[in-house]
Amino acid sequence: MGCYWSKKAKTPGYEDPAVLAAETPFTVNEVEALYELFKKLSSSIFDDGLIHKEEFQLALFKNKDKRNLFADRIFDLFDVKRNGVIEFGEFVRSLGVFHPNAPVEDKTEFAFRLYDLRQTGYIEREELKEMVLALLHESELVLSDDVIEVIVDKTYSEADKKGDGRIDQEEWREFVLKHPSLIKNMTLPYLKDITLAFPSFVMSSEVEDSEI
Amino acid sequence: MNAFELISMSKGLNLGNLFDVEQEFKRETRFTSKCPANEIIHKIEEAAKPLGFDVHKKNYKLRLENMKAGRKGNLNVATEIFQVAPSLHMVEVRKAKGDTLEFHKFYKNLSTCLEDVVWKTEEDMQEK
Repeated sequence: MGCYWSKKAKTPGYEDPAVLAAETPFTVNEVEALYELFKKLSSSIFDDGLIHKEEFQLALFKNKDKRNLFADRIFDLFDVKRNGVIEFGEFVRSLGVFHPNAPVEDKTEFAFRLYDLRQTGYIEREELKEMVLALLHESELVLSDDVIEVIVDKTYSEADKKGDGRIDQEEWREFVLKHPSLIKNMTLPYLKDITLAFPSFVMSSEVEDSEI
Repeated sequence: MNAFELISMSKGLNLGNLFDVEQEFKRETRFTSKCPANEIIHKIEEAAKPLGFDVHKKNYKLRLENMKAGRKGNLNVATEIFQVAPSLHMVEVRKAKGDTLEFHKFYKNLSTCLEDVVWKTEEDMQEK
């Protein structure tokens, strides 16, 4: 058991489950279950207790080299310290926003930051168009530029109430209130059952001992 | 369907995949169609009735209910049609109640009947 605990402590970004539970909607048991998931994800390519971009891509797309605009945005938002990797603490805190019990305001804000591609504090029309193009490309749906412009225009004019050519946080909040399904993917129902999917074997020593 | 709803369908934004949810037994799926919405609705109705499903329509939403009870009660399926562009519709088919495996079987039957309506299935839309 000594090896297991000291290994945990050495992993950069590891935080005590009790601390994380206090600051997120997760219980201590759920944080420990998340640690099991984290271990799996963070050791898939580089066994260093950190989730690298390729490991994240591997988990999401089953392809470590798959590039995706939206996955990049999620990765960057999870990587709070901006050091190119997702640490355990960052992982839990970010996933906390996706918990069914997390406040809608947090989910709305996270979505805003996600779509604010260049982090200017606004979702510009070009950013919206870029995202639509990325989605169409990803789904192998081909639409003419005219049609794409119509889709972007329609949405943009509805969201950009002030008509200043960009969507700010306030306009986004109002838009989400009108269309709650916009933040549907900001909730992961599985998080409530995480302890069933990843039972945390706190006492487990079989695998851990062999690692340095 | 607005642009943000479209965007939110990206695989990169559906973190459920991190949890390795069994892809075959998903509770919801979607396909695109180039047919007009009314035709899609009509085809779904035509396909569902012989399979023993009761159909309730409201705007572009359909509720299909299996009149026979299955393993977990009567399978209840909700479908909704979204217009992405004038000539492109996205159809979402979701299990509302009942056994997921039965839903999966139902959807397989349904898609066979809808072959000429479906343009791209969800698998088609996921780049290799």
